[in-house]
Amino acid sequence: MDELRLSKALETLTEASEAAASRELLAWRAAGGKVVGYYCTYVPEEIITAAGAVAIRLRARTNPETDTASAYMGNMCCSYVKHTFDMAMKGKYDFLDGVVVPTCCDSIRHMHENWVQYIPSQFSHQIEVPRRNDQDAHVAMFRDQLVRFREHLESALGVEITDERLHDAIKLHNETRALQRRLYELRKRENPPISGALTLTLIVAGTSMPKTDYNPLLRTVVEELEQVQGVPGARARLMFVGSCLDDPAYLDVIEGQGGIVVCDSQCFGSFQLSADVSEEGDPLDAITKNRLVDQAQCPHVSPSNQRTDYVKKIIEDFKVDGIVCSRMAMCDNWAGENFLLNRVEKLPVPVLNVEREYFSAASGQLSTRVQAFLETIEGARV
Amino acid sequence: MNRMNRLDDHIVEIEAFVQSTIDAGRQVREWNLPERDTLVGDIGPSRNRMVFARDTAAELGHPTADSCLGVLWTSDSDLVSDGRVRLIGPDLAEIVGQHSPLGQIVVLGSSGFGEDTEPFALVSLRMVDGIPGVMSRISPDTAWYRMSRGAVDGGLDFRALGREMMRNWKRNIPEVESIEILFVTSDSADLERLKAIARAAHEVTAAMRTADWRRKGIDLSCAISHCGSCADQSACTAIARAGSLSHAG
Amino acid sequence: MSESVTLPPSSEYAVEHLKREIAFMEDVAWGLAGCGDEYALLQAPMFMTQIEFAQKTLQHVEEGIPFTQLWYPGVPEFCTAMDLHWDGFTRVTLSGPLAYLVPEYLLKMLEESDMTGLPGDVCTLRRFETAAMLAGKFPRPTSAVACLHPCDGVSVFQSACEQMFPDTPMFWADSPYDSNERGITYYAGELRRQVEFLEKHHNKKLDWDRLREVIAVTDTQYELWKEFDLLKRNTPCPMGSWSGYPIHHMLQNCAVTNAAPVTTEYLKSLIAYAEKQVAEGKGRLENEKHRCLFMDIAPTWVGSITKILEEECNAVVVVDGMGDSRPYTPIDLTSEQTILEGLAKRYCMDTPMIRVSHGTLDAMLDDLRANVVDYNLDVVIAPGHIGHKDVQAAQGILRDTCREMGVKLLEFNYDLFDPRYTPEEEMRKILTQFFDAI
Repeated sequence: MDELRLSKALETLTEASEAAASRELLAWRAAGGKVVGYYCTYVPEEIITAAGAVAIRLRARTNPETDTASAYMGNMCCSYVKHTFDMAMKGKYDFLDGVVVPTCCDSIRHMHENWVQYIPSQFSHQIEVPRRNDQDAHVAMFRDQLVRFREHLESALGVEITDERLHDAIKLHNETRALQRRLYELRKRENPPISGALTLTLIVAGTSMPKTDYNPLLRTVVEELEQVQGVPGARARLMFVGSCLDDPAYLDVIEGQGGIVVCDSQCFGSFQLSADVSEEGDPLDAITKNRLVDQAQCPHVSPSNQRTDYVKKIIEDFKVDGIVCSRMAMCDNWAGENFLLNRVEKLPVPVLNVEREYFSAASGQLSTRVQAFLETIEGARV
Repeated sequence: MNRMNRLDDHIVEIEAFVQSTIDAGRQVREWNLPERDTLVGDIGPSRNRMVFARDTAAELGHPTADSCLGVLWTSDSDLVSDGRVRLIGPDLAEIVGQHSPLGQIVVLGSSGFGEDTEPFALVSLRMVDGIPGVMSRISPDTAWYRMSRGAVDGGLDFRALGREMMRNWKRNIPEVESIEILFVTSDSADLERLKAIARAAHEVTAAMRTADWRRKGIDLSCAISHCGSCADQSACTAIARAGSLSHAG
Repeated sequence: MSESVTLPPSSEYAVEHLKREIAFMEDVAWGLAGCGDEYALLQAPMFMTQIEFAQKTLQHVEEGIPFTQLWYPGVPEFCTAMDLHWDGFTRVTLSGPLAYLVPEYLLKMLEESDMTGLPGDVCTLRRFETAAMLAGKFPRPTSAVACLHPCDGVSVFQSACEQMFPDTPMFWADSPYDSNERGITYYAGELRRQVEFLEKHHNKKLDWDRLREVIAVTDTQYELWKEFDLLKRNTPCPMGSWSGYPIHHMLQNCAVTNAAPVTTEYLKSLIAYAEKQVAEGKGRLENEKHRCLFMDIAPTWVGSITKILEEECNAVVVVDGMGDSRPYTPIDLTSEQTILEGLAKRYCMDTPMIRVSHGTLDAMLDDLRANVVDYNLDVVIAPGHIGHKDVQAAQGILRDTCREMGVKLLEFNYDLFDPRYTPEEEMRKILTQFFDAI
């Protein structure tokens, strides 16, 4: 293993994961490149890439306050949305040329109107995401949304998004997914060579830098780690399930008790890498199918059995011993999902339920609960 | 082309529509009303703008009967005949007891409308407020009025209605220098022709709004928008203004 | 089409509960009949038909006659035209009027909902539904029809429903975000599938001519609703707070009143009463000082909040989130497609609550502006129900709109279904201080 090569790549990616805009992104911007922010995995990054822009996922890890947003949003609003809106109002997203807001949840969907009303310097586009995916009409409707998005982006950025450019973008993003899946494969090992926290760091980094910079760095990390033997001794193999988590420190707290997070069901994790976009045929058809049918679905989209089947498959593939179900407060979608996994499904592993905010201060409480949870798992083995 | 004159072609189309109706030998009633002309008497129940169903003489623009609403404007004073009210179709006394179709086209003339002038389609719905015996009903994009029996029996007709509406326009929107109104109560065929013109005019005003917003950095080509980006937002404010003024008036 | 349609057995608890609910409502009906209050007696038809609704459901359960279950807003016209009885999710969840009239019963429901394990910030109505399902309180239907609006909270219930009753065929209509032609066409497609679903699972064929007859009646009823709303424009308002609420219930939430003559007569009686009030210059309040828009549905503890508003603040809720008919478009009966599109518009874009919550803020803000002017309102009450996360994200825009309209805005957080969240004394303080200040 080339430790120097590995550590340089890790350093760059870690830095990118901690920043609202990575150095690479700012360099792109400085060179005249366009940047489009987006809120969730249903947004087709490929179309943004094909428009010659860089897509970045909106995060607010550098903005712990919500004093400005609180003047515009009630207490019952999701903290992730509040923190990102607060950042936007304070001008900290000035590196964006526009934002794409899907209708994936009640808190996020009105960010479109808020953006238009209060941050008019950037364009805002809303993509409707149907709540079902089991009928042709749902898929057709979503495809229509992508057609309109493409048209709006063309007009906003003054470019033509050809099918050829889309195909190239699909290839690029598939390369990202393939690399990320290789990373996840490492975690199937009995002794994974990488922690859940570091995995999250690497995945999150990919949401804040151009893929053309990200892919080679991730490839370096993956290739080096594939040669590494992991350290045995993890008390249990855990799965993280829950509302969008972009904070590796949270997983650090969980893993700090001796367990290892080997996989997840969340949108800053396995959702985005779960399926490739087909490189054959009509690219919009392919992207539509990827997002609404093939990709692991968030609780916004039903029927629910496809989601619970996904969780069960991960439990089996990654030999999971226990699940940490972590819902962001005020998130109805994940409240329903947690209820399903806890009360309704007969999962073969125990589940720990915790709640958090986007910025979670109660790490002491979390570690205590995880500690107890691990003891439960170990006790069951005896 | 001067922004203020982008609707001129459609104003001319309205004229052509009226002329073709005349040429076909059909009656087009026309009144040219001087400023000092007043409404005939104090007619009909006017308490709180309420017209009960049982007191209704006619409903104009009822959803089952078709309705069309349009407001056009220009800086070319030759295109607007100030104080002119025209009617194609039966007058109020002739449609008692019916749900009548209603087309209403208002043409405004002004040298004072600025670049940010908003279309007034929504505002025009409020211009009947305060007219005794007339009640406008809630409808997003069509004109729907209820006329009281007392008002119609007391002489309310489209001449008087048009006169009062024009007075309301000028009082509430000071930039209006000249105004004329066309009412159509004849049939669906006429309404369809009028709708085609109103729709085309609407596309022009929509394009003007889109251009305005693009200058401000917002692209309205996305079909999912919200009122924060809606150019009718200030027209909605004008509704409030017109509504509150009609209480005073 | 399935050859035989059966009804799964309901739990003893469900049957027992239905009977107790009916017995309670019959007792209340006796009291109502003897109260002598003209205004209260206006609601007698609504109350009596609610009893009939529960009785008919009980009959179906006891005799094993197949029925379906409808979520708000299912399209009741379909069921009426197919002569298919339906029970309402909301009817079961709130046990008819029990949750509104019996504080002790409401408290019991709240305690049961706390035991579901769902977090406290999930809408209490969803928690009630889940608790009811877990307890076996729902009479088991042959099938169920629901909609995936108005909010994310529905997904909570949907997930539980699908998994806990895997043998009950369920149809979930997806709601469009657009309120334009595209959205209408999309939802019309969902409604067509809804019809096919009901036909399949109940071995019935929808007679479209019969549906036309039904819609012709409901069209008239919606027009009467609009007529009633016009009368509320009068100052003083001829009716008390939340007067439109029961209308909405009769038209959309009760199987025995949809397209029924009793509903038409009920609406006419309301109109007659309101017209008389207007003609005599009378308002419901002796000293009406404030006219309010309440931007939500009525809470289960509506009695106490109404008392505070009307008696202590001289304020009347003229328009509310459920009880006011906004647009009205008669349905074009020309073809199946035009009928479906008309129903799609009526039950998605135009129907209370769904109208303002399924899509962008346009409908909410347009309605607010029009209501303030049409009804001469001076106050907007925007209660922040815990379940309405979408409105929480729009408070700034709402505030700006009210400022632009020149109306006073009162905002506070509460729970529509749980009076413990904002106790009565605190609510009194919030309301009286606000109205004193303005």
